Amino acid sequence: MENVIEARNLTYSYGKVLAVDRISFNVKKGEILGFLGPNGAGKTTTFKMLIGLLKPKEGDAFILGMDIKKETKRIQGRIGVCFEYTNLYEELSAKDNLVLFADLFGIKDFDPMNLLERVGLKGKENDKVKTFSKGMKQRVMVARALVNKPEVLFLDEPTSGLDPVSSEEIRSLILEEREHGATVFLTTHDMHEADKLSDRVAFINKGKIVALDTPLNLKQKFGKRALKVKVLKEDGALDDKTVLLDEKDTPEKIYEIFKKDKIVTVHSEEATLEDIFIHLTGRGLE
Amino acid sequence: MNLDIIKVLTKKDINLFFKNRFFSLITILGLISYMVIFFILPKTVDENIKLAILSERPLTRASYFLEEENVETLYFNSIDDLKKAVINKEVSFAILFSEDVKKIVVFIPADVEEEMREAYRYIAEELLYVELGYTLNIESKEVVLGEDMVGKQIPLRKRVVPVVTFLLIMTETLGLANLISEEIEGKTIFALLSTPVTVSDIFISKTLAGLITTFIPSLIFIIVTLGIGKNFPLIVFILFVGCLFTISIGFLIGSISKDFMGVIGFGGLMFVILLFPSFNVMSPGSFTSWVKSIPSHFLVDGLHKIINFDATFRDILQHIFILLSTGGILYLLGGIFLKRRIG
Repeated sequence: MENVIEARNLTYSYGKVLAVDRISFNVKKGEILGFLGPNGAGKTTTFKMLIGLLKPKEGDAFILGMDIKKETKRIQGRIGVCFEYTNLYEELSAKDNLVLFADLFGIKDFDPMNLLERVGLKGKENDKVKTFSKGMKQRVMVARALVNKPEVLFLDEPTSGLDPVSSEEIRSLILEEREHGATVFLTTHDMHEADKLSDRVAFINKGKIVALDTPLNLKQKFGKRALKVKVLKEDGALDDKTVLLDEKDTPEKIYEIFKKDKIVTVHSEEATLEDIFIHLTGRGLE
Repeated sequence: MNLDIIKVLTKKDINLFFKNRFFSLITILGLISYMVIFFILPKTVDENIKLAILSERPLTRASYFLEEENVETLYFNSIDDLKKAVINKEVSFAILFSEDVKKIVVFIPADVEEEMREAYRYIAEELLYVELGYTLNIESKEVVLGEDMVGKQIPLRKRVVPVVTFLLIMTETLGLANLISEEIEGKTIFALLSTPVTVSDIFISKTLAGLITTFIPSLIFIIVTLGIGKNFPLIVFILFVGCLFTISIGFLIGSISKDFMGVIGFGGLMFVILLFPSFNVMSPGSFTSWVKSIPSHFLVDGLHKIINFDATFRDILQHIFILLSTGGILYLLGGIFLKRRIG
């Protein structure tokens, strides 16, 4: 399968501060790559280099086979970008915001209503964006990123600060786009989002990629599975017991609990991406 | 540079300019009120000196002299009435003759400039001299260099046109500065730059939007107040150059301001500084030559010379050059600040 995004030794520094340190990765056609890391890890800087807003100090990036340094504007005509912050024209309506960008992409016969319906803003098309809630604005941002039917979608923290319903709707849209063949580069510090959406995740910490694989592989490689058992003690109080799976004496330990204690609940538990991130970097994602 | 993109961006900027209630309101209100001010102001200039005299002994030679020189003279019987006439500006100045007509006191309104005070005093001294029967054994001759403006002095309403035109352009420029500042602060500039839009497209479209919002209202004002005369093409030309110059100021203000208040703050400061040369046109001599170091002088003075003195293109060539070169420098500065802010 062809590589739609290809980064080779991508490097960027703000003055003397090295923000991104020689990172390399590929994203294949139709794949969703979750770029996971805490604030200040270098996610947004990488994002900005890939969409052509920052020129890499070193290294190269190729989008759809084109060099981002040399063919920036050609690439930007074929990608969709959704920023972490809201940057819409607040005095314009949702419809006018979309039409403006369609005009900039030179799209004839653009139908804003179709997109607004997809993001659940039908009936609000003529309202000024400044009257919208954060969730509604974010939906317009996602719709704007889809105006030119992009082959690659770059999404920077698309659900950051949104309510669960809005977040879920945006996630559905991202998956829909992938179904239509789009490749997605998604930066996030939300492990659940990365886990739910991504085919592969890259962990970035202090400007370097520390791990890159499918969520399942990462969990199997670095995580520990466990059994959580809630038991009722003799005095009537509840007690939690944890048995690590994949250990030599696991069967015996489970047998002991089931034999001696009165079981209330039993749950299997697998490592989260955050656990793995902490394991790899020694720091959390927030 | 993509013409289709520039067209779309310019349309968007003009749309946003008029969606800002503050700037759209002051554009319309400003235009209407400036026109009203123009038509309220007198269209002629009273060139005559009105003199008030109080003398216990009737004047003989002096009154004959005043009559001969066509000086409108009012005679008063009380010193209080004489002073009141000066204070109420019913007369240009007043002379109180002593009983023996050998001493005089000259009463002058408080707002008369130093040079005019001296001129009034000399007139009064000469009158006393004449009344005492002296004649000077000298010969003097008056030669007017240039067009003799006697009887056709520039009325205030025509003096006000270059000033008001500049005010109008500057006000609209603040609207443009606000658009630029909002584009940076709202980070919409990054949304634009992540599409096929280039920085040059943004610069050119903002300049075009600025030209439309500054040039058209000022042109409407000129047409309504002065009509389309023989100087019209030259007025249009200097207006165009002047708008480019003020747009460059707008770029600088917009690039350094963080929000609407910043635009009003920096813009207000610039506005006041750039307005000084206008006072010189309204009231010549009220400022010394240092106002010529303020570039806006060349817009206001250029307009003033074309409108009121029929200046030719050659006469304002220096004005055009200074406006364009200063504008170029300010554009560059604005660009540097803009680049710093968008990283």
